[in-house]
Amino acid sequence: MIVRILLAAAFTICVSLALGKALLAGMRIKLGRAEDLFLAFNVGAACLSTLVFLLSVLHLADAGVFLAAGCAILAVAAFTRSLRLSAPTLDRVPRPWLMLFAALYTAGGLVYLAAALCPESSPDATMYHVALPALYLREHHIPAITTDLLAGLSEGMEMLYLFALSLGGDSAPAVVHLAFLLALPWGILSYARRIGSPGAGVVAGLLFFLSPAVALDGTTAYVDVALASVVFSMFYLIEIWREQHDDRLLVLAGLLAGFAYAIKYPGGLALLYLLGVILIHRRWRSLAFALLPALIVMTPWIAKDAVVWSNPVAPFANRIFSNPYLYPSSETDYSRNVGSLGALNVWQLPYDLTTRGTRTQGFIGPVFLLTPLAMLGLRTRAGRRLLVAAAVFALVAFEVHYARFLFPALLFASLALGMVVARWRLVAVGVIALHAIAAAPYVMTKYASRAAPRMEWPDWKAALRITPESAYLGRHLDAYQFGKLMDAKLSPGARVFCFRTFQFEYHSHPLVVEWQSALGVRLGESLRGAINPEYQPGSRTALSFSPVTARTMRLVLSGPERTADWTVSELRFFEQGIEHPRAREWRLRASPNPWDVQLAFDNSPLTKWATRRTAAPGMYVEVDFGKPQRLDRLTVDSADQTGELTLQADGRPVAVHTERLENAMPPRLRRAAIENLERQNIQALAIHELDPGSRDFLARQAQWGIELAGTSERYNLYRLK
Amino acid sequence: MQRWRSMNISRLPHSSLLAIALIFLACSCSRAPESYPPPVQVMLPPGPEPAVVLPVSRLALAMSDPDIDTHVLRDVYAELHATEWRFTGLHPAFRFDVDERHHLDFYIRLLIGDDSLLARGPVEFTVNINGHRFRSYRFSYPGDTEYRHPVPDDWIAVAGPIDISLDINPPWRLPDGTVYGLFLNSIGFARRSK
Repeated sequence: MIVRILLAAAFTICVSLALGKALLAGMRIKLGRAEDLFLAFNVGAACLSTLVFLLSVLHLADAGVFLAAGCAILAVAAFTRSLRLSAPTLDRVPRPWLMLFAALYTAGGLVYLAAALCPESSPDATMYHVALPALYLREHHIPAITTDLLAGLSEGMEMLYLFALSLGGDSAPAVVHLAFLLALPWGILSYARRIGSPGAGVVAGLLFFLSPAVALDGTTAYVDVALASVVFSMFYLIEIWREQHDDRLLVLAGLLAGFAYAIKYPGGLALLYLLGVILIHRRWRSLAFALLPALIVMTPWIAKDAVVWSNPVAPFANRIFSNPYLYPSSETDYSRNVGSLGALNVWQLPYDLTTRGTRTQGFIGPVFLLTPLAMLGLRTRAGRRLLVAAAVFALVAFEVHYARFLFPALLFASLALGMVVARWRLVAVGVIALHAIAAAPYVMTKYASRAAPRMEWPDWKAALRITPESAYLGRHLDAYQFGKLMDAKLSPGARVFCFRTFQFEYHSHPLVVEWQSALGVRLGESLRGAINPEYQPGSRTALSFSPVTARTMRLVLSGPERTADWTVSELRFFEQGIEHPRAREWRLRASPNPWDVQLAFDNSPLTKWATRRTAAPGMYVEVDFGKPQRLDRLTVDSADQTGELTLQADGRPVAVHTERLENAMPPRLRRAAIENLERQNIQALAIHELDPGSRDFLARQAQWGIELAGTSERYNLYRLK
Repeated sequence: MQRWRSMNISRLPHSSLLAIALIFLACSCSRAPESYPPPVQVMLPPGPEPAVVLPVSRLALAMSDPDIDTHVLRDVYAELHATEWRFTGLHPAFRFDVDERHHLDFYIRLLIGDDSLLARGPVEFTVNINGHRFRSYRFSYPGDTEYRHPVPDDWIAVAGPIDISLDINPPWRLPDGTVYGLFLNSIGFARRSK
């Protein structure tokens, strides 16, 4: 098993390297040996990722196809003699620096390798970075998923993971990611040698390499270290271009900028940085050299989201690219969640980010509190460029405070700081020693928050598979046993609703998670509405008016803008106290969110049409009756006291008298909610102890119409009857 | 090298920018049909609610339990928030019976709100179980929080119901004079993890 994992990861790395070397050789770009290998690996990874995407779109996501493609690439690279090492042309690293670097790099690298080889149990990897590629491999293509907003994110690294896991299983992706982490210090060092500061390269390489947040991320199948590596490679090529003005380098830089976007949306800053540098140099014609390759790598992800989600940048910008699959309000909640500092003040952020990790999902190490010293680097041109790059990539902090989102900025800041402290060798050694000590797992427990994720000493037995995978995962991965329970108790492919997301790498059931899609939000609301009055349409607004005969009636929201959205659970029309039954020839319209308008006319108090964004005057629900109808009253059921409403009959305003009434809820709402889930082909519920209504589901199974199929960890699995 | 430089690409930036603009423009076109017919009407389930069999034994009280008021001795606000949460005052007390009396942890689930944390800072409380007391740690982070603390078996070994009370500090005073202690979901015991 362990050999298979290592071979698969090595194959992925070698194919990337071969692709990059072949491209560099084909373009006749001459680089020093160390930088040639580093840059070729990153460029080749971009090419391989795009190739895997194209194969997957063609329904060729298969281990045999990937193996054949990889072998073909290696053969072509060997045949064209692209794999030959280039001549060493950069400054040598002084021996004391090299020994310091080699010692800490080797020690850290071995520990990291063991951590990466452990069965994959990191949250994001088991929820999408590896779970989605595993799904693509099972399906042999990339299916259109509209019930998981995480599937809308660009997946550049996930394509490399797909390639690796098809050959090596679930642990191979983490080793591929580790390759970027292992390559980065060498890349930083070679850049520092190019600018004549090898000592700075040693310091910066080790500062980044030993950072606790970097170590945790780089030894799992996350994507952030790879993003930092790709961004730095782009920066490296731009710096060489600034020396040589050879536009071929911009082709590679553009390719990497596009790949940065493909790895993670914040990587889009790389393209802005690249174009900015070109524009500053007033090399207008060079723009195309950078832009076109970037587009080649970015476009597949933009196109995929445009086709699947009707939104080229899903899951964001849903206000601009309205679609039926994600609500703008869900996007707001998601952004607020990842961008929230909670009770932390902004001035506490540097301490939290470096030392505590309370709200930043990891910490980069207390030594980085020295980062302001890097400003001394402003005196040199190289220092200024590094600090500008750090500032550009730190812009992401305005939106997200997670440590891993700041890795590209951290890398540039490390190098700028390294250039300053490397002037005094003893100080540099002291800084690195402090950083290394602070990164030791035992020491981290002394200063970091208990809530902060951090790397622990790797379980060597698990890494070598002496401890069985299932035993390790049962201890380290939430809901691993529950996944097995689902596989045992549910029919294959049964769709499961849950309020919270959990791993879906180690089971085969599609999950509809409440916060991950419009469908999930609607189903979650109907379950909550069955037991929580806040979600029930307890308010009825009756609009009475002089009898009118009209073909269309439009209910329009007026009055001041509101902070909440406007909801309509049921809209009914009357004449002389008798309701007009809903007829097949009626046509329903709404703005915004036209896709949900039927939910205001389905006779269920548990479903609703809602604006799903801040309610504003002019939003409406409209009915075209197909023929003129005589009406004198309508009622609007909603969860809140609806704001001021006006009515238009065939486009003409109608004077109305408004009454606020109470709307009594019918009995058996719990069962009605379950039937609503069944209509969406949900066959089971996965309820965590801390989920809303968890006690109610357990105590009132008969009222819900569900039965407990099993319990594992803190989850209950219910089958819908 | 020369071939690369001699390529006439001066017009490409405009065309590529145009391509991007077209892609985005195309994506912004809504695929929503103009209108929809009324859907199939939902028939709500007929008949009365099936009877509920409440669990006869429990380790912890949940604020959503139908009989929770019979177990509150003092200082829990009556208003139920979001069906499962209640505010307490500074000295809430509860009484209830548990079947298991060995290898239990004291268990409490509370919500530390950002607004309360900003207003009063970290909160802590003293737990009193049948006259035996211990102090919790300081809750200084916001969010849905669970807290466990081992309970010696002899504290709850005696027959009969168990009394649990809390003394919470500092108070959270609202501008209208209301004083809150905790925002509570459940309190009682949980089996000690191995």
